[in-house]
Amino acid sequence: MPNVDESVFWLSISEINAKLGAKEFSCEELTRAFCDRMESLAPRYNALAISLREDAIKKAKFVDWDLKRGRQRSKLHGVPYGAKDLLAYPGHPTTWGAKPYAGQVFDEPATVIRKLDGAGAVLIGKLSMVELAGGGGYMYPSASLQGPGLNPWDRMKWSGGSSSGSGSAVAAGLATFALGSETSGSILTPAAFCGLTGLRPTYGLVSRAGAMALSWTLDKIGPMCRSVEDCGLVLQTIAGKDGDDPGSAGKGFYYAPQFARKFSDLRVGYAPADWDGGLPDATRPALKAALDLFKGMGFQWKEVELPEFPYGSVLSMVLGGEAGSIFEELISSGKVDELADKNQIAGLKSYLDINARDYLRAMRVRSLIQAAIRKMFYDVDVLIAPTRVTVASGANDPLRRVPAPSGSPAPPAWNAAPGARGLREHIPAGNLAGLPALTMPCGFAGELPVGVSLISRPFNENTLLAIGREYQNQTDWHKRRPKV
Amino acid sequence: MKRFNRRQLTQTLLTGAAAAAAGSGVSAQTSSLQAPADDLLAAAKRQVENNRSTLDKFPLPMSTEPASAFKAI
Repeated sequence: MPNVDESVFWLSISEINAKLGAKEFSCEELTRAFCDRMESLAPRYNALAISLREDAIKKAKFVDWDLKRGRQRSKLHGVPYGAKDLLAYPGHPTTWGAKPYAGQVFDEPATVIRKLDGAGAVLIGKLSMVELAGGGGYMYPSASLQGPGLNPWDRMKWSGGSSSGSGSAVAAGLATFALGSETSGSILTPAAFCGLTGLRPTYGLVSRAGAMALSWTLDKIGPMCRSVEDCGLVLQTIAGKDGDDPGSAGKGFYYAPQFARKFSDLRVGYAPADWDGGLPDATRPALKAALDLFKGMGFQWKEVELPEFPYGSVLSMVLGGEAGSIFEELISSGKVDELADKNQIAGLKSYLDINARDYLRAMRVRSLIQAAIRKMFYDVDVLIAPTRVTVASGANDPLRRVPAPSGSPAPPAWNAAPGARGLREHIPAGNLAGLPALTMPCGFAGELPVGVSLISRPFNENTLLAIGREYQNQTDWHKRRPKV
Repeated sequence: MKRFNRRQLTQTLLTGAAAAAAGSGVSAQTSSLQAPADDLLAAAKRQVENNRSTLDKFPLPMSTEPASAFKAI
């Protein structure tokens, strides 16, 4: 590949698009180079579920044909990407990271993959994931058909879950961007652990048609990229109304951070308890430096804390009630025992104990949560909080001590002062209320990335992206690269 | 949904196994470290019970409707 050098693997979407337009290399050359890299390096991180080399090269030839005629379908035209293996792609297995579904093939692509195809993006591989997106509550990172997701910053550490392969692949420059999904933390966590910029969209903004359902009322699909700008461009492409997704909000998204409100008009909420004293020594410097930088951007600052609710219990009951119904056949048939993680198996089986009263009670409390959080956003426009207070744990380490069936591992201990709620439960709270969130790298603890999150009211993605873009204009954490 | 043929399936599973064993220094399976299945199931059921009792204690006005509602289309 004479025209495609190492630096190309780290370019942004706009930079690749510009180089393709300037004919510095063809899309076929670019795609072959990315496929070679993905196939040779992804096994180091257990990141690849299946290479789609043949289909990708075929697509690249179409892109080259377009480019020869001066046609640019979008900024994503010709850009190589990967997709979490819970998204359907015809003619190849969509395994959901789980042995019982290893031979599953769908006839139609997921809506998001179809939309990216229409925009000219080139899908080069399906990326590994925690089995069934961790819906049963897994104990070990090895809960995946491909083995534990390994972190490009340190292969003895976990890449986070459940979008493990998406995190590793983008961080290692194996794809320009990837699609992940989040039920409770599965975009934000691997993005933070791998030093990526990840966007969890508002519930309903991006269609889930063709994606594995874990929880109909919690599942979201979103971009995992190396910059805010790239997240905005991908979201613009995949968002929008879809009659095939009953949860679709019927809204589109146009990436236009330049039209966001002036920073001096924006009210940013933070909880001092999240930042003072409660942080582990290792991550405190990076997180406090990030807060200080945000404080210099001219926002109006307000102290806030999340309304008091049993977020974890509500989330577990909602997710468990829905997942128990979705996977009832898997559980009842005994095929659930083929899963890799025994805690997942036990967690899924226990979901059959959740009855209609339990589920409805949780959904009624969720209504109160939604109303209280809506009220909180009367006083602030954006919240800021550490994405996770710790960095990635060891790839062999248990993720918690006590089995707690939920869509994601329980957050690590947070030594906040007793009674100080702060925003530390922003992941379950934000997912229950369907809020958008943006995580960005903000420094390192040793060799491992640390992430900071911005959260806002539903459909306010452009404000998050505008603030995030300014943060990345003033820092270079998102440009740091692991030694691959 | 259609099934995958045996050859393609074998290839897929081998890819995964090879990836897991590719010199990472990290074991692909840690299930041997986990507690017996019966204990785990009992613990998971206890967790459901704990969540139920937490939610039962939460005051809930009678007028509160669930967060997702049926829509006529």
